[in-house]
Formats: sequence, structure tokens, C-alpha cells
Amino acid sequence: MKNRVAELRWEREITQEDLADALEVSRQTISSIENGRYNPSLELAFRIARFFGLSIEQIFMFEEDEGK
Amino acid sequence: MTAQRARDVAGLILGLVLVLVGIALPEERFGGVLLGLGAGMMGMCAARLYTGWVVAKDPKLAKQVRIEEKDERMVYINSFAKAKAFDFLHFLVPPFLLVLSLAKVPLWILLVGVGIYVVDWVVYFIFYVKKTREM
Repeated sequence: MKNRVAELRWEREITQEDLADALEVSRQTISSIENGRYNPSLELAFRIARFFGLSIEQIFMFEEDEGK
Repeated sequence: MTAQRARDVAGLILGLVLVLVGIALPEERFGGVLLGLGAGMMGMCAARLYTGWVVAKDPKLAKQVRIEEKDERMVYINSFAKAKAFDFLHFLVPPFLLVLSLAKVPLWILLVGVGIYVVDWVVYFIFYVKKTREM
């Protein structure tokens, strides 16, 4: 799964700490999501999407060959 | 007083009682075992009470601790580590029980070991069935 969290965060000039605070998760979780090391739960994905005012599909991109 | 704090205070008192009983009882009547158990319980509960006290004084730290406790990635990592530890323990216990039986330890010790092993699996299946029905 690819995502645009880092890109959106840079566009809005928000630090990882600020985003983590707003979403009530740890900064390490934000860092792991941005690096693609951790895929958030559906609930957290919705909260991220709501925070940026976008839909989940505009932030998270599923890659067809994943899990094969 | 929160439920966890109340449990820790109760654990501290129970630990102290066990230590005192352990000191009073002779070694052949499990005095040493009770002393060790009591000291361990007291240490664990005192450490948790101290941590709670330190965190309660610092709202920023309290928020960080609350977030880290609920953080889904941390919860996942913790659950994953526990699951691996469970698998590893269940890999180790049968050969350990075999060694105990070959060492001709008293039967009751062997039965306690087998009982703990079985209870662990029963607890696993209870939660497995419960979660399967829920999800």
C-alpha cells in the first residue's frame, strides 16, 4: 500500500508530532505509515483522510501485486 | 482512586503479608517461596504505583503515556510479541515436561506442569471461539 501522508503533511507544513497529536497516535506510527512500514487500520485511515479533508482513496493507493 | 491503583495498593498489602508470613514460616513449610512471591508482588505493585504517581504529576507525560497505550501500532506490536512468546513457550514446554519425567521428579510436579500447559490451551480456545463468534 502506498500513501501520500508525507506529501500532504509537507504541503500543509505540519510536523509529524502535530499530526500524531491531532490523530492521537504516536509520532513513530506516523513515521511508519509514511515510510510504508505499517498500514493503518481502516479507522485510522478514515481519521487521516478526515484530517486532510480528502477521501481514503486520495491518500492510500492499493497496489494489485500486494500479498501475491 | 482508579481500579488499577486500588489493585496495586491491595497487591502491595498482600505482598507485605506474604513476606511477613514467609519470614515467620520455616523453610520446609514453603517460607522461602512465600517470601519470594511476596517480595516480587510488592516490587511490581510499588513500581506501578510510583510510575502512576510520576505520570499524574506531569500532564504532558500523562497524555503521551495515554496515547502510547492506545496507539494501534504499539497494540499490534505488543500482541504480535505476546503471540510469538506463546508459540515459543508451547514449543519449549513439552520437551521440558519430558525431561522432568525422565529425571523422575515427583508425579504431582509433572501433573502440575501438564495442567498448566492444558489450561493455557483451554484459555486460547476460549478466546479463539469467543472472537470467532464476535467477528
